[in-house]
Amino acid sequence: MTELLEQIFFALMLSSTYALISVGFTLFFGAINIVHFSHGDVAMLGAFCGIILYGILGLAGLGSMPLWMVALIIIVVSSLAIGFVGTFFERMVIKPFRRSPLLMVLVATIALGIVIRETVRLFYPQGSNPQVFPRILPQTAFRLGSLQLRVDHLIILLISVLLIVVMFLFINRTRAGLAIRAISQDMEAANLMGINSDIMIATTFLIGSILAGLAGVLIGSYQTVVRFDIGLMGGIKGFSAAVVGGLGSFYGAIAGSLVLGFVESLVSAYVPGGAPYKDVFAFVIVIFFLVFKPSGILGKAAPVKI
Amino acid sequence: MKGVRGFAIGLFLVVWTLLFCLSPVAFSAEKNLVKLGFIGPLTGPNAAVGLGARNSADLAVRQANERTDLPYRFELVVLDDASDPTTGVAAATKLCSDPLVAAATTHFNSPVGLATIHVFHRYGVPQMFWGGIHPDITNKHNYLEVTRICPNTLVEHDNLVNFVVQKLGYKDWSIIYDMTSYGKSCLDAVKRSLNKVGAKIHSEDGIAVGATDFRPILSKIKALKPGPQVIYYGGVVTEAALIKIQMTELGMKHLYTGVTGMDSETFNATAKEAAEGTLIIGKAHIDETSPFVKAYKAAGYKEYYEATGPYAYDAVNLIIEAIKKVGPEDKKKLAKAIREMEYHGILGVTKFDEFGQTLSGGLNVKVSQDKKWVLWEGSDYQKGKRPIPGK
Amino acid sequence: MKVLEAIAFFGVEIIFFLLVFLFLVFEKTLSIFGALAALVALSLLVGRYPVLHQFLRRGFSTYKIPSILLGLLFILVLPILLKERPYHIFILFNAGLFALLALGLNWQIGSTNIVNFATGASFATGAYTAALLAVHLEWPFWVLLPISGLAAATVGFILGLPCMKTKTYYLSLVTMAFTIIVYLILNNLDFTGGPDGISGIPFPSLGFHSFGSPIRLWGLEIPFQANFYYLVVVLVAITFLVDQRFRYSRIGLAWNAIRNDEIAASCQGIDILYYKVLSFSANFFFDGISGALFAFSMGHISPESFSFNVSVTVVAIVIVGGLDNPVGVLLGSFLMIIIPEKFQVFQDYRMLIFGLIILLMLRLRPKGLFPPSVRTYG
Repeated sequence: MTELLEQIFFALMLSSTYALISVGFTLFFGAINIVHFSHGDVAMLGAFCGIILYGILGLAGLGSMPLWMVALIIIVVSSLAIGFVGTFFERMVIKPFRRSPLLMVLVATIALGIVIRETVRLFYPQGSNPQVFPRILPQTAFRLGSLQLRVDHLIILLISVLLIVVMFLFINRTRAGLAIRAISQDMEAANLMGINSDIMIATTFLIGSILAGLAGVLIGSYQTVVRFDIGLMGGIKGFSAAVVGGLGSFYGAIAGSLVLGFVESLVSAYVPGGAPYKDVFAFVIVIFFLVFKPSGILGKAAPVKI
Repeated sequence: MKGVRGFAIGLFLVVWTLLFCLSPVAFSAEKNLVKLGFIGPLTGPNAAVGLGARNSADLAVRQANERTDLPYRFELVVLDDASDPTTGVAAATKLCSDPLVAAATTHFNSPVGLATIHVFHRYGVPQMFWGGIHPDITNKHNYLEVTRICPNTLVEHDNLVNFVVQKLGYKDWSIIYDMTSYGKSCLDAVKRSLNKVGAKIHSEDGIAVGATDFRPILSKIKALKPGPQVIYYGGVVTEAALIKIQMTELGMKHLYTGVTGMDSETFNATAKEAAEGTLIIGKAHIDETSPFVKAYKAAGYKEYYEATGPYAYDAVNLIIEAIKKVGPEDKKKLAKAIREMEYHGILGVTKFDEFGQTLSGGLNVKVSQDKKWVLWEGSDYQKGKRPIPGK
Repeated sequence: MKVLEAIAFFGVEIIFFLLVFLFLVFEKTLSIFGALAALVALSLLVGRYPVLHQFLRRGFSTYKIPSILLGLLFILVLPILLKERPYHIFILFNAGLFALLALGLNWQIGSTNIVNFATGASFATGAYTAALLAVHLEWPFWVLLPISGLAAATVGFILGLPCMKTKTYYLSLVTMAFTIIVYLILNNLDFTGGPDGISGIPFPSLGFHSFGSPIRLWGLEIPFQANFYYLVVVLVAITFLVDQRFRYSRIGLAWNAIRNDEIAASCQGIDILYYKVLSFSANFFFDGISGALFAFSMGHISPESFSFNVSVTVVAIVIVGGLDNPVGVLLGSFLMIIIPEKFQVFQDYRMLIFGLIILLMLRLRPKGLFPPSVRTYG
């Protein structure tokens, strides 16, 4: 029983790491109808940013600061920094293709992802090797009944849930969120209503990228080690989770992440010889959904407009 | 007419540029110049190892050129295989088509080596492996040209199992391995060694390289009753460190073991306190005060020589001794001479068996103590001052 | 005048080939750069002076057969000129393999607007089919070549069917996921040798001549890599001819129609499913052949050679070379494969440069270096 509870907990943690990324995909798709293939790589930048910041803080002799302060600084600064970086990418790479065929945006974002990955690999010292993410969250463990839980895991889980809730509230309960939803429905009409779609799109990217930066820091803390290419797999899986749940739907992104996270965790633990195939299982499920139910678990089937 | 005139001018400029560039092409072959090839991963995920080995080989060549008893001047031709077989084959082809290359020392990754041995064999150029543990490199085709100065995985695992099972008395093992060529070789070798001594294997789990979350697998192992005393990992260093970290998170007190893939300070740097008590079969132990280390530091190389540097160093020196004996022109003679060498170097004595595999290779039992690898002999664990995990 | 023009035209062609040869042969980075710069200068000159462009076009249409023959002669003679440098013949062969991949992919990305990232998987299917059948059943190479193509085409067919309904970006995601799945399966399955791959693939032989032995002709000894080089040249020529046949037939028209407007095309009575699946199968067929050739040339294959990076490289070649332009794609393969080999120092930066080039090309010349010529009717 203990073991099962433990497995469920780990599956939940894995799902939350996917959810952080897939919510971003959903946001971008829901708002401006593009699939931002390099979203995962932007998150990876968040993790590396955290590592660099930690190093800088250490050098500046601020090692005497309390841990929670270090953690706070790293989280906040990384997220904001990546927020701006992400918006910069949007301006440079995605905006020029706004009126071009979808094919171009697609290939452009994939190429952007490659450029981000390779830049980190080549120019970060020892970039092709895995990097240790600093321990910025408390490492203590405590027992809850027969389960052994760790404080840092709980914090990560909590922050992830919080983020997703905040994102949801932002889109659905604020004026800015309303504007973004208007743009996604019909950009021209929204423009006519006085909404500056250019600024709103930039805002969307800012928020999405802040989320990505935060995701990077959290995932780095959970996995202890980050590599330059976690963005590739992470992005594909995050996107898959969003699609499985229903692209464009928040609840869908969460549902999809849960499905993917649980399938992966339980397959690696319980299917004999299954651990190396856990990705294969996950992707087969994704392909199944894409082909037979592209609207996902919770999405609405969109009629194709002639 | 104007267009054609402009074109003619342009053409003239093109030819002019060409002639300009033709000038630095001349080069002359020196007398008694002998080239030695080095191929290793200078880029990619194993770059640190490749560069360390390259530097060590370079040191050996430099020292050889300062000797007065050799009638040759040596030059090291360095090529990158990027841990990729196709790149490796291209590099091997390039080396072998240069008639001045007498022999080469190669590779860290077995898949690359498995592809290039055919190239070296086709051209008859002697090839000595300073890295790469797959038995097939030497045993499958037994090419005369191929030798290996580092131990292969069968030898490593026999050593490990003999120590842990017979000396420490741990007969219950769980195996985790990664899905690379290296990990698979480790899996096959450890099972073979364990079966030879009648130990019990409780579980076998494969992981993908790049995976970071092993908690489900470890949780499953933790729940096994009766459980194993030893958790063995066959694979590369980062995943090895992560597993140990997560074992500590889960409060697992098994003995954690592996072989030379974990013999790198990266393991300790990544796992930090969690690394304590890990036991491995490690590569040759080179004393900090030995002449090799002193010369390496004096030469000012940027990169650390890593565990494989000394193997590349001895490889180059062994080849040079063979060249001293029979000369570099007849490659077949040279290959035979290399096979028959008994060489005394920093690894100890190197002799090859009928497959070209070294019989020693300088293996040691090492344990992680205070975030460093130390020899078992003389460690707190051996002396009984710290408890051995798994009891 | 006519005679002078003819001489000038052939002179240009010969100088072009000379420059390509020197580019291949030079060792010092500066000289290589010089030859490359000369080539670029030539192209820019032609672009700058429309008179020159017309001059070349006239020359080509007047002397079509002789200039093509001259080109063929150059290609045939190249290995003889390079007989001291088997390494160079090897990289030319490599470029040829990628040309096969890219020509096929061109039918999907260029002609039909399907962004297919599964080239790594199709290449792998061809290579592993050939390798497994050669090592376990000892089938001869010449039988395996079309069989690998068919095996890959079948996979393409299976992949293409469900993809017909999916939209552009979903489709790309499916192809990416597919490539990764194939890689993972190949890496983990014992049947395919796992991460060690398959070794011991013998050299093909033509009659009594094994591809592993050098060609001995008129007293010259040409390195064995030339065997593979000639074979790949023949295959590229065949693929090119197939491309031309596709292009100027109902199939090519249908593909372009689907690219321009899928709904209008289906209203015209074009069976979208059939033509899309056809593009998958055709592309994968030639990828499979390329894979088989690759397996036989290396003697040993392992999953690392079939990663997502391969797919990305081929997509880059098609985008750079020119969507829907086979000549451009051929030149693109040559550029993208040979240049990194010559400038060894950039080898490590290869992927980064590819990514940047894709971004640049999409921004500045979305139609590729050599844009497709407008379709001529009648």
